[in-house]
Amino acid sequence: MTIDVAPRTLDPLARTQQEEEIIAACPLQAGPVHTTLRDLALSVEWSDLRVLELASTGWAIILGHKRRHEPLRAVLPLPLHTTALRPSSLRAIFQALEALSDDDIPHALPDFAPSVEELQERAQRGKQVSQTDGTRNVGLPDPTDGEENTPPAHGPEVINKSLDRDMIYVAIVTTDSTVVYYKLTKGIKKPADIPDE
Amino acid sequence: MSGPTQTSSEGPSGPSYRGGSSSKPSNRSRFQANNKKYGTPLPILLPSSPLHPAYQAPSRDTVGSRSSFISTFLSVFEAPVKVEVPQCVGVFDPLTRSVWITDPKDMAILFNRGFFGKGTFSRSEPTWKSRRLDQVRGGQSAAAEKLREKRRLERKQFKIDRAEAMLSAAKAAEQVLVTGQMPSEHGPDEVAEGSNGDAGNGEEGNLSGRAASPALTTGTDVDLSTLTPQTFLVRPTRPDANRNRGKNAFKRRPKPVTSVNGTTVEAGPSNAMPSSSLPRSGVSDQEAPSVQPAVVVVPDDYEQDLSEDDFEESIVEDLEHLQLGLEEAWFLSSGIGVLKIYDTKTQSFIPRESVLALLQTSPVSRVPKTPTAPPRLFPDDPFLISYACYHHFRSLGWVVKPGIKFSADWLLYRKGPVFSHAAFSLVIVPVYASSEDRRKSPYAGQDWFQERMSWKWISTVMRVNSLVQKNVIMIYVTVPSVASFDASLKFGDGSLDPKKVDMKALLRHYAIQEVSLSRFSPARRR
Repeated sequence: MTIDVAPRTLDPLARTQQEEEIIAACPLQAGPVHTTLRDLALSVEWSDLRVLELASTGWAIILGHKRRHEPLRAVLPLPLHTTALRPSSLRAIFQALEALSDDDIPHALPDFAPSVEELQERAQRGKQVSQTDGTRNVGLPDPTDGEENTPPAHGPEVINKSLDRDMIYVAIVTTDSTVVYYKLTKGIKKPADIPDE
Repeated sequence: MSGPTQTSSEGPSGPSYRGGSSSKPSNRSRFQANNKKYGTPLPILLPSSPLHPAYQAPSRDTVGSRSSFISTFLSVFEAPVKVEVPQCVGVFDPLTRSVWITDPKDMAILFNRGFFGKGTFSRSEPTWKSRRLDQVRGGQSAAAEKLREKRRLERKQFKIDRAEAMLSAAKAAEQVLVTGQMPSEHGPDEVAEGSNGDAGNGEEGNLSGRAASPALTTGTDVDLSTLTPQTFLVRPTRPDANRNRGKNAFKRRPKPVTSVNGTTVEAGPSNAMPSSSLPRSGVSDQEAPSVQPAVVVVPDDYEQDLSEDDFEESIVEDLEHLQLGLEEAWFLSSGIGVLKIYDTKTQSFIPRESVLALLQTSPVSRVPKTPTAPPRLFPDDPFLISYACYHHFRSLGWVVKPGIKFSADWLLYRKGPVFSHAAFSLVIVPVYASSEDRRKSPYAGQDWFQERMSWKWISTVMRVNSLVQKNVIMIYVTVPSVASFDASLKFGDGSLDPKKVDMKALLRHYAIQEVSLSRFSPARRR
C-alpha cells in the first residue's frame, strides 16, 4: 500500500510568542521546555504556567502553581544528556531567583485545554438542551467564545502570588516525552521539612 | 503486570485490561484479553492472528470432525489470504528530536503490537483522553496512572500508620517504665500485655496483620524485667499492592467513605494522574473529596445514554500523540519497514536511506560546519551505540523501553509492560576498538558515557535497581574503528556518509557483550 497522504503536522498545542522567544534564546533547553510545559499543564495539572529566561544566566525556567494557594514554583527543564548544569550554574540560578521581582514575572500562558470543570459545564449544558427541546446542538453558542485566549476564571480562591525561591524542580526530558522531576533545595533539609510530601 | 483489581467499567476491549467489573475476572481471563490485544508483535499479521481481518476463530463443534477435514482440504484451493504488514506514518519533530504518531489507528498499531512509543501525557499507553473523559463523567477508571496513584497513597498511609504505631508503642513503654503499671485499655490498636511473662512473644504484630490482644485493666502491676522492646510494638503490614510483603493490609483508620446518590464511593483523588514522577497537583490525600463541588454528579452505574457519551467524547479533544524515541523510529522505519517518516521542513516523506542522517546526534563538535557541509557520521555517535543495543535485544524478542526512571539506558520486558515488570535494566558502556578514534571523536569530552567508567556510578545504579528488583546488565558495545569501513562509505576526513551507510552493514561492525551484575555480600552469603 502506497502512502501518499501527508499526515497531520499541525501541533494542536501550538507554541505561544512567549515560548518561541525562550526557545530561540535557550536552544539547549528548547525541546525540554516544550515538553515540560505541556506535561505540567495537561498531565501533572499545574496552573498559571509561564516561561521566562533568568537574567544573565542563560537558563530558561517555567513558573507555575502546583496548587493555587501555594507559592509559584520554578521548574528547570533539561535534556537527558547534558553536563551544562554545573554547581556554578545552579548557584547562579538560585541567585537569579532571589533577584527576580514581581514585575519580571510574565503573565500566565493561556490554558492548553479547557479545565475539567468547564467540560462538565458544557456537558451539562448539552444535556439540558437535549432535555428541553429533544435535540442536541453541539454548536450552541458558548458563553465563553472569544475568551479562549484569556486565562480562565478558576473560581473565587486565594491565589498565592509569591515565589518559592529556595526550591526548584529539575525536569529531565527524554526523546519519548518521559519527564522525570527532581527537587533541589538549598541546604540540608529533612524530608519532613520539604513541602508537598 | 498484575495490579490490584478494582471496579472498572472497562472490559477486555478497553485500554489494557487491568481491572475488572464488579464480578472480578480471573487472572487467566485478564491475561487472555491482554494477550489478544497485545500479543501480536510487528511487523507481520498472519491470518491465524485474532487481529487479522480474515481471522476465523476455530469452532468447537467442527474441530476433529469430518466437516473440519473437508473444510481444511477445500481451503487449499482457495485464494491465499495476504499477510498484512501495516504502514504507519510519523512526523519528525526537530525540536524534541522525536517522531510523532498522530493518527489514532497508527498509535494503536504501534503501541499494541510491540509497545513502541509513549503517550505524551500518559505513563505509557496513550490514555489521556479516556482519563479526561472519565474525569468529566466523575468516574473511577482503571488506567495505569490511577492504579499507581492508588498504590502510592496506600504506601503513604501505611508509612503514617507505621510511624504512629511506633510512637504509641514508645509512649506506652515510657508510661510503664515511669509508673510501673500497665496503661489503660485503649482499644485493639495498641498493645498491652499481662504480667505472665509471655509479653515478648505474642505482642509484636506479625506479617499476617493480626493485632495483639487488648490490655489488662488499668493499674495492674508489671514485672519490668519481663518486658522487651517489642512488647508494645504493633508492626503494621504493608498494603496488598506490595506483592512481596504481607497479605493483609493494616488499616488504622479506614478510608473515609462517602455516599453519592445512594452509592457508596470510596474517597480518593479524582484528578488526572501524571505521566511523570512529579506528585500531582490538586487534591491531596488528606482532602480527598469524592465529589467535585458545584458540578453535576454522574450516576455511578455507567449505563449512560449512548448519545450522551458521544457528546462528551466530542467536547473532549484528544491532544495527546504517541511519541517515538529516535531508536524506535529507526527500528520501525529501516529495521522492519512499518513506518514512514514525514519531514515538515521538506514537506515530504524521508527516504529510508536518508533517515539516519536526520536522527544522528549533533555534537558540540570540532567538525567545522559550513552551510553546505553534508552531515557526518561517526561510529561512536551516541545514537548508533544506543541503537545497536536496542536493535540487538529487539531482534531477540525482548520489548525494549527507555530506562531513565531507573538510572538505566534501557529496560527489558519479556512480553511487555502490560504483562509484567521489567526484569532487566541495561547500562551501556561503549568500548573503543581504536584509541585514536576515541581521541579524535567529536563526542569526546561530552557527557555521553564518560561517567560510566566509575564504580561509584555503577554502585548508584545497582542500588536503585535492587530496590525495584531488577537485574542490572552492563552492555559493552564495541565501537568499530573508522578504518574498518570501506573507503566508498567515507568522506575525505574519515567520517562516514550517513546516506551511503546501510543499516545492516553498519550494525555488523558493532559487537555486544552482556555482563550481569549482582551484589555480593560476603557476610550474608556465607
